[in-house]
Amino acid sequence: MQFANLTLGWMLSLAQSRLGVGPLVQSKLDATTAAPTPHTAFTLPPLDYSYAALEPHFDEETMRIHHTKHHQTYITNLNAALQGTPFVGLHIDDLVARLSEVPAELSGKVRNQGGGHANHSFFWKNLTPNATALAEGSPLHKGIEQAFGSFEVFQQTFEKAATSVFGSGWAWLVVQEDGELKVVTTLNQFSPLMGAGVVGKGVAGFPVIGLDVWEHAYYLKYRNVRPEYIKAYWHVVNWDFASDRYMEARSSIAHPEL
Amino acid sequence: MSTSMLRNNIALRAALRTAAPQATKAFSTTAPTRALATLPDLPYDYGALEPAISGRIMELHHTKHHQTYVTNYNTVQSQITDALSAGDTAAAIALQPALTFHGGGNLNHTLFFENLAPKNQGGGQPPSGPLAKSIETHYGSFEKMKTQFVAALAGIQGSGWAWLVQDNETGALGIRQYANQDPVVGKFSPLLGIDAWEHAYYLQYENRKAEYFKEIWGVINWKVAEARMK
Repeated sequence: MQFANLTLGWMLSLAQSRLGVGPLVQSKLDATTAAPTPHTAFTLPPLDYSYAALEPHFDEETMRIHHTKHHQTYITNLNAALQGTPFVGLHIDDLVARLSEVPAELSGKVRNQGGGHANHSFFWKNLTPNATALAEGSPLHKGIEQAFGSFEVFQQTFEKAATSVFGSGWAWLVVQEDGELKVVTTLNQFSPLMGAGVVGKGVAGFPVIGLDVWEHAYYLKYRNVRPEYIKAYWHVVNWDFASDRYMEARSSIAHPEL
Repeated sequence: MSTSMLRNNIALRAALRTAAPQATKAFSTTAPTRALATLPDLPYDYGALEPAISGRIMELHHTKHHQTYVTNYNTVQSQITDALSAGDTAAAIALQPALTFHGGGNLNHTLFFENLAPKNQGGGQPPSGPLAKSIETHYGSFEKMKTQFVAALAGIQGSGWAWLVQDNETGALGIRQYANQDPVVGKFSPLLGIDAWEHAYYLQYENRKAEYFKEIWGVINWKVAEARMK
């Protein structure tokens, strides 16, 4: 189906579907990332696991600082920027999909801090201490094979992308508006959810997995050796969550809200 | 980079010095030659900038990060040279981001390590000559310049640098942010740079970058910055 002029609408509908998702997805979502009550500031979502749970792949100290300092700072700054504006109370994924509506004097701050909050909220759910391989017959595995030829080629593509971010940013596997899977990267705290108007048509999409490649995500344990960190990531990817995300995106495309 | 800058800048020349000549191909008399970069030594020990910057950071920053930029810059040079020799303009142009990143990384870190010094080598001593006068003219005072510089550092999103620069035409001073490893080229010349990438401070300061931006002034080599003025 063609969504040439509906990219924003698709992003919004996906974001809004998070607020009333089906039981399968809802059960996997952390309750605190559901829509806050109106006029409530953003708060730091707790992790579903302890800071040490992703050892030895992601070290405890990094997880702790990453969550309680870096992510918290994005939230603190975002709340300060949004105080008194009508954007308070939106779901964070909704907010980042609606950057074009934010007044010009706030949009840089909201993009950086809101992007940071959205990206990190996603990231914690994207990780798990109980990682299992993505089942070969599953829709996501089949989708990956269709898009990349094989799961191995997908992994190589993702690793190459994550390695070659020149500076701070993220690597993602996204579902694009045509339903296809693609590996993309964003700089700083840009998110594919921000839509084509912000990140370009080639990058916009619904994240299925994502990897933070800012130095703070890996420096304490991996120093400058980002490729080792990227390899370690495969041990902690939450493929259940990724599969739910994929199905959510696909069903939204199959049944768009007009 | 102006020739006078190169002449005065021993470490920079070292960074750009030509390695042993390559084997020449019979048909490549007009092929561009390459100047292989090498990692310049620091003029001080790794631990000499403590407590402002830890020895652990200095060693990693120099032997890993800067070295990697040097290595990859040489690789990119080789690839661009090959592309140009083969007349493959598109391939050469496609390598520009990599050249900016790795070449810029080499330039930036060379200049950065030069514009730091231990306290017993003058680190932290405010400038006194023409640079001091110029700072006063453009900012009102040294402290006001520092405040603006720190604000520039704090405002960097993601990875980048803040530089005190000189306008090549007017000689005016400025403070500018540069993203990632974008070097100071073109309209401006670099006088003093401070690395705001997380690797520059993370092992010691973690996310408390404001502290790093405050402490680093104690090891700034203003003599080197002044020597870079035109």
